[in-house]
Amino acid sequence: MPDEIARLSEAMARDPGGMAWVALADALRRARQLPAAERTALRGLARHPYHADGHDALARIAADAGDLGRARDEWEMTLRLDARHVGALLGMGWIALAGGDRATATRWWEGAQALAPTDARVLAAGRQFAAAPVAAAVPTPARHPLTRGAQDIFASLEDEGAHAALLVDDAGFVIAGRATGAAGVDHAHALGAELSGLTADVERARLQLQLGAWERLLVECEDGTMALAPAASDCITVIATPAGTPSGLPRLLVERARRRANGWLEAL
Amino acid sequence: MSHAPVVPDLSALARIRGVRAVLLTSLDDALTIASSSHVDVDVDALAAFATALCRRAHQAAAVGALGAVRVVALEAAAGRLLAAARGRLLLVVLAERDTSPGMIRLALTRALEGLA
Repeated sequence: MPDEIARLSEAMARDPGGMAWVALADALRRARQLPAAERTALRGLARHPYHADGHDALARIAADAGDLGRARDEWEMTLRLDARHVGALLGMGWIALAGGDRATATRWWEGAQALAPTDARVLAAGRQFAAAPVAAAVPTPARHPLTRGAQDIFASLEDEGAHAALLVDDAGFVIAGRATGAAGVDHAHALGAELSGLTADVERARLQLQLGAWERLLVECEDGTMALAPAASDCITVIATPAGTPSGLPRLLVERARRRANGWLEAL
Repeated sequence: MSHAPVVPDLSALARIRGVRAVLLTSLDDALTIASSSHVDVDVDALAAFATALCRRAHQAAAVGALGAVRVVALEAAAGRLLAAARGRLLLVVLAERDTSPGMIRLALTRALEGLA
């Protein structure tokens, strides 16, 4: 491995405009030198922003670092650039499996298998997907300790009209709160994972459009409204209100949720 | 015989004080169909980022069992972005921070109401 890294580093030094950075980033990832791998991939993507393999390499680095939200973003970008990218199809399968969704994981794998049925990565992933203990792969909020009271910080917001109130970290893990649907099923973890991608898109939009720091995102839907606001420690607060709620109420509730979340995070 | 317009009249939205850009795009390809903007606004970038944001909002709304997305509003320190969808069309407004979001929201939904 060190020989491979040295060889690829020399290749990059000889031809800084070349494409050796993709292989070098992946070699550094496999050697568990994740910060160096990320720097290499980001520098390469700065010069070649539409290189599918480069985004795939960055996704693998993010996945190895435990940042599944970012990994998914990068694999989605890879697939926008190359819809037949086998590595990204398998990567999306891994993300689904990590979320406990074996059916979706299998669909991603089948897409890869249709394109490259004899690819060793596809064959290995097929075996691993089939054998994976899904329940054990469901993400748990391991980044922040759940102390007593975590589930109560948004309790009164439900009385004020919110049917979901969550505190989610930057990787999409739920720290506090709940989101109970009409059938009584708590989909907080699935929603939290989805929101990490949404906030990544908010960050891109506000940077590219020079909007400054974001304060709120409101998503009005047919059956309710979702409001998001950034909280301390790179977390986000989320509330959802049912259809028919006055349009100003979600803004008010998410601001209250943000203040409570910040107070709770500071007290940890 | 009169027909509902395919493209809404953007001029009423563009005339709202503080509005910097108005555009109509497609959720399918994020290409600009019609626009009216200040010279310093990159309408293609606006269409691309607004579309990406709305697609992701749609995914999150689906997970949250909230149904189809109607309006997405991003409020930030130096401006606001509002987008309203009708079918596969997306009407987007970029405005200054001190512009009334209620006024833009109303104008957005009215502009989409008359579409074919």
